[in-house]
Amino acid sequence: MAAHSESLVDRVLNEFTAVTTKPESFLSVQTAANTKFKTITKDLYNFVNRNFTLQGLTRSLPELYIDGFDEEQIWQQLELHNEPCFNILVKNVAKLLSGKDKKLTFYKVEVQADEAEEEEENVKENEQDKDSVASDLSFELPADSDNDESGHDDDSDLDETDDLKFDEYKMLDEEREERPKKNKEQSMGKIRKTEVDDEFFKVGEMEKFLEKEEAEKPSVNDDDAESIDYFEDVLSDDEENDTAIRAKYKDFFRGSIPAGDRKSTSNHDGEDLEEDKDDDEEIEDEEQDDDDAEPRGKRVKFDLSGSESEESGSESSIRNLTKSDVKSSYEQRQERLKAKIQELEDEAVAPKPWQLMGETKAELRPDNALLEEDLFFDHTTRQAPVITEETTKTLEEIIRQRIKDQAFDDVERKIKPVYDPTEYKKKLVLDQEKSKYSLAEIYEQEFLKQQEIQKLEAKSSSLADAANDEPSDDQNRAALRKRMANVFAKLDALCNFNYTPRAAEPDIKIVSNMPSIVMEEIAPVTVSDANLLAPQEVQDPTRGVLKGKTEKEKTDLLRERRKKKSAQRVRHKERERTEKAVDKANPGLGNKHAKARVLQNLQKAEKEGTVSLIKENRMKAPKSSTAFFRQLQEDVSASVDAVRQSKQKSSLKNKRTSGSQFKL
Amino acid sequence: MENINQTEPRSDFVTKPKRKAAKRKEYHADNLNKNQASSMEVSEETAVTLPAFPPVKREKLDSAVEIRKIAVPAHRYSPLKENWMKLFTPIVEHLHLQIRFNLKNRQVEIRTCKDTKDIANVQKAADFVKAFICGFEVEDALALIRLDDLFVDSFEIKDVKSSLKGDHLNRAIGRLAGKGGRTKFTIENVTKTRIVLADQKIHILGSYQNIQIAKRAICNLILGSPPSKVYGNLRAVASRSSDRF
Repeated sequence: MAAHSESLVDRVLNEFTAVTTKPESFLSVQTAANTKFKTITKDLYNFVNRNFTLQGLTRSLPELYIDGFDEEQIWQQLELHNEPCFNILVKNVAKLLSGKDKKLTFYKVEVQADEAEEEEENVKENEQDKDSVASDLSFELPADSDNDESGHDDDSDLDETDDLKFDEYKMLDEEREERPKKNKEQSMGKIRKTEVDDEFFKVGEMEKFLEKEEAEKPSVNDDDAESIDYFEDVLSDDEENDTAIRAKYKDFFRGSIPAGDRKSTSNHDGEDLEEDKDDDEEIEDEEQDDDDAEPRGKRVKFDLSGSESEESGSESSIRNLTKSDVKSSYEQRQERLKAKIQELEDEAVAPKPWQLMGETKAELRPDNALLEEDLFFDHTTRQAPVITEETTKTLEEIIRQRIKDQAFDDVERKIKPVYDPTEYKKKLVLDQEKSKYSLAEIYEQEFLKQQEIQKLEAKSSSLADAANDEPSDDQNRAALRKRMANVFAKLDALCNFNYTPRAAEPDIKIVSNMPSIVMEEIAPVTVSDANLLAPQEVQDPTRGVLKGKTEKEKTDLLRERRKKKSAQRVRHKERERTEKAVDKANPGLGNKHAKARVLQNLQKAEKEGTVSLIKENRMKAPKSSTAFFRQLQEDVSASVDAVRQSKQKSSLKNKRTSGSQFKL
Repeated sequence: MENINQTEPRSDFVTKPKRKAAKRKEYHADNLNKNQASSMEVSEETAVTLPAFPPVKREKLDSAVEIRKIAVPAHRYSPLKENWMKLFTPIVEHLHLQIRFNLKNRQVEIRTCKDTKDIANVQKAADFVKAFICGFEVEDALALIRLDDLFVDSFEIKDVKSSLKGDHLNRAIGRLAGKGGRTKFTIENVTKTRIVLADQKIHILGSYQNIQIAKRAICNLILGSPPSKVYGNLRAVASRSSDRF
């Protein structure tokens, strides 16, 4: 039967390849190829159906009908067979995998060159669906195992055939998902080969391990358990110290510790520990043997939970299942607490959110974060008043009350009080136009004005109200009113007067302009320096900007000149006035001013030359008038002679002299 | 008409009625003769020339009709014609007088009639017309009728300063008037008077006090003080007078 099947398969394959050698031919419709394909499938189907029957396949057809059937219908026939077949097969495989009795053995396959298309002969009841022609899966069927490995335990077998497992499990991934993930999860496919790969270390293995770990992150317990595990191993058992002392390379680089055993240790089972120890020892021994022969034993192995043997793995997995599923309430509580603690610790350690970081700028905050926050801040501006019914009601109440009381806040007209009589003069406007009204009209208007004033006076003289015209001849009433006004005035003065003090008037104070030192001497206490003149009274305050001599411009200089000249003029005028007055009193040369003036004129005249002063070189002043006049005569005659002589001299000089005159 | 002094005997010839002047002379001569006869020592030098007022005729006494006559100069003739109705109406209606313009004499005549209630109105009317003739406007002159104590004062520039001649006089007149009549109007407005500048004559219409103030101001102007000074004085005086008033 096998041979038969082989021949059939060969034939099918050969025919298939023959048809599909030239894929470009399929650009056009190939009816011949079509019939060929159909016959091939029909043959396969018939063969399979006849020889390999499964329990439970009730709906599949006994043979594939292709005559006169559409492609779609053929596909449907196949589907009809395949689907239940598939389900059954999956179940069978699951049974096989989980089953304790039956043992599946796999053969070792050399990775590099194997592309054998041998069927899986060792797999029982493992019907593969060969009907699916377009199958991309390539099975690397196990080759004959090495004899060296056969003597090993199942665990070692499993460990050695790690590579194999990766490839084979690709097919059975879907089944595997149904099982508990903890134990059976496997990162898929081949391991990535890089240049860095060593005997110890493979990058691909590491990546797979990391991926697996990341996937397992929600179940943190494992990691914690593992981390805690070490501590507990160290602390709890004294025997461990011995092992620590005796630790060797093999201890650290064990390739043979199964994940299942590791997990058993996490459950804090003493028995498991011992078991593990036993196992470890066993493995040690094993590896010691294998050191030189098999470099694989020294390879760095990552703890892949999927990398356990089916058998032991399944055993340990079952054990683990029972232990991890059933946790006591205390343990659960502890777990929860731990979770909470972890959370809190993370929060405490992590950098604080921007809300707690003091002053933050927009760049440090996320966009529109403030919109979602409830903020408190001071409003510096005064809010506009909210107008509600109540506010309007209150306002209106106030208004009504004010109207009833007649207490308005009217602005009172203020009149500027007039101090100077000149202001009254200014009020009289001089109209320089011809008056519009004639004289008669002017007098008419004046007359009417007068009448009105008289009327007003007549009215105001009585103490009756303007509103009600009471007879003024009611004396009692008038007297009463007067007295009432008096009383009210007194009451107002006591409580309610709006007192405006009188305007400050300048009062005259006599101040003696003594130097302060005189005043501040040890003088009677009653003398105070308040009586002295204030500095602004001593000298006028300087107005405007002070300018130095070099800073002054032409305008400034002229201004000063004008000021000086006007001051001079004023002074001159004053002097003239006084002199005039004095002159009036003492006319002629009776006063000193006149005398001084005369002398001045005389000096001026002498300078000019209109007057020549008689030199006064007399020894004694003449005492009598005759002596004075004689002296005067002499002086005059002397001066005349002098003048004549000078004239003569000049005439002499001017006279022309000829040499003939000097002739002897 | 009967002559009081009949010197000539009646004859057939109708004696021509003698003119007034001739009668007056006769009367005068008679008186002289009488005096000469009576008095012994009368110096011939002292010839007493009394105005000859013959006694009033009886009709005139009995009639009790007051007549006022106001002469109209030529330059006021046409204004009179224009404003005749305005003059006419108040006199006739309010004062109940009779008024006419004598074309031959060029005189406005006012006289009382039976309806006249007050004899004093005649004088008022006369003053009213006179004021108009002086140069005042009708409305201004009307004040004379309405108010009792308004007067018209007239004087000449020569009265104030006789030495002004020719250009100086003209300048004085100009000073009085001011530019566009400003000075004159100012004085009028401040003192509540009306002033008429008729070349060398000045007429002022107003109450007594105001006339005095205006007169003083005008005299100051004639005498040469600048208008600003006059204004200042005016203002001071006027304020005082207004307060009093």
